[in-house]
Amino acid sequence: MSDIVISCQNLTKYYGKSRGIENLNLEILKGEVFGFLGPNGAGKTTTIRTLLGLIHKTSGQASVFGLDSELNSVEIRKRVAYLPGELGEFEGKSVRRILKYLFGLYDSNVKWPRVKELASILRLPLDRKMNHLSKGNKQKVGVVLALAPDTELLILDEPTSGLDPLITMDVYKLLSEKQAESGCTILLSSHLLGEVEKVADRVGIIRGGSIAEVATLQQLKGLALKRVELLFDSHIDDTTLRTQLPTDIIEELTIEDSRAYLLVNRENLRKLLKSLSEVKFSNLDISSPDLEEIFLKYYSNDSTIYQEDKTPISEGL
Amino acid sequence: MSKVISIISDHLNEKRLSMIGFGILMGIFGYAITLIVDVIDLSQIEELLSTLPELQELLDLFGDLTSPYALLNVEVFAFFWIFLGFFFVYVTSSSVLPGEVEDKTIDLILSKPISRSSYLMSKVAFLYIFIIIVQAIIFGLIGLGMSTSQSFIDFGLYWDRLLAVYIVNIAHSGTIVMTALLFATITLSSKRTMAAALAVMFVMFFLGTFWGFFPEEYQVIKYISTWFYLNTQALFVQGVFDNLLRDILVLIAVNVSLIVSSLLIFRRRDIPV
Repeated sequence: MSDIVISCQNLTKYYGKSRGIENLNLEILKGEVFGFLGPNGAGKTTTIRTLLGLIHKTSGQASVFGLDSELNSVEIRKRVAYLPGELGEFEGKSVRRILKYLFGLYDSNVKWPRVKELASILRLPLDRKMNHLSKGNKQKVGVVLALAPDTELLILDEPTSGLDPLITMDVYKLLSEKQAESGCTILLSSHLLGEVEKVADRVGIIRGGSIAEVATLQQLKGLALKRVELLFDSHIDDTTLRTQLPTDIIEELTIEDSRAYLLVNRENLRKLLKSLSEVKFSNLDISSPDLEEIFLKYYSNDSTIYQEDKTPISEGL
Repeated sequence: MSKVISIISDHLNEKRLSMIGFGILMGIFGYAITLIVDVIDLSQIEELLSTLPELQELLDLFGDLTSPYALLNVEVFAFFWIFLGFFFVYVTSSSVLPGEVEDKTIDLILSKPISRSSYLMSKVAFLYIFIIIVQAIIFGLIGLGMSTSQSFIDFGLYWDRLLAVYIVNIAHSGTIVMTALLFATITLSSKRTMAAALAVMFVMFFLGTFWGFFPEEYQVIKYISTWFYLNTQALFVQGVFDNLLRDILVLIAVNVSLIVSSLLIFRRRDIPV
């Protein structure tokens, strides 16, 4: 039996004249946690929905478990649990009723004690009406829907969207446990690099409807940037500041009046902070740039720059 | 099969209050008409109409008004399709595909191992069960009214007429609902579904009811209207069942072709996000 669970070859989907995905090539192996990263509108959801037969491809090939995604859609979905990016309203129905209804659409019975256990871990009220739940609690319903059935493949589209950090940690812990117990394959779509890297074995980076890069977790760390913002009491001189900073480790430096913005790799953060002891700033703020920003840094729209900018990532891997 | 039953029972559970409530409301209306028949002097109506030949000509569409069956037909069966039609089209557009697309629940449902054909057929089955139950309640209350009305008892209780109207009404309501289903699969929008289905409903009513006023060479158009096959006057007032089988078969054929068209369209549709 093949070790490839998901395979896309030149997969293309157009919505009329608008591009969804174009010549997308991807292989996901059995038992791996694959992070599917990309900014909004890159084509992550289109790829997933094509794999599940919710939309029809324009051209190319897509298969799951070696089965054609269009011809054998029902067979595929018997072995897949899916958490969509948006769960929907299910107006006036309790969580319990929704779960029973949706689990009733599987051929094999989903074990209700397992559902209760997951609901308890996630602190999800089963008898509350869905439309009375907060966004985070709604998302928990989706997590239960994805984790309770015994399936070979989990497809999760932004699974922690709207969840607080503690619950997010619980979700990733549950995911890891499920993967360790069952050996299932997980396709995890997100635009949050920091989250995907916690659980993924490999990541695929999609941009403009095509796969820009497939990297291992080790390689992924090369993309782990931190944004440092420095605030000064008065206007800061560009040249003076540049001489005070270790520019060799700074990926990007922007100075605007009394503010300076720096992008550094996470591994170089300590070195930067040491050098800042000599700099007289009034405030310092460190944050994680979103994937959009990282993409702008490494993957410019211009194809020439794209190739040039891509090189340092590979070298740093 | 269990998945189909699960979807049907979920929808019936969700719509049970509106199904029973609307059925009782319309049924009480029909029941009240059977009671009114008792207090109306039908011979006076006959006398009044004889003085107004133009009105008589118009009302001839509904047949002889001097029997309790004719009065019930005019007051209830000739018009209640409007209320039923609006209600059924609303239920179809809200509980079939557009509702789920607009609530954004369709992705989650269709990501489960159920084929699109089974999914749509479960909706079709739910809609038929729905219209059967609603009209069973209405006709049940009308039947109750007839059985307690002295006018009907004196005239004779013809249950076969009521049953025939019930059956042909089910088949006819089915065409309204399945037209809405077809537009639902095409537009995936509840507003557009309602607008298109109601427009077709009124055009069909117009063609199937007033074809007699058209020039003779155009009168053949009556055959394309489903209203032509809903002849409650012949069935309920006159007790003539000669065309009943034809009417039912034609209406069933229309139902089937609408379902098949919906299935073919839905299988090729992209489900919008």
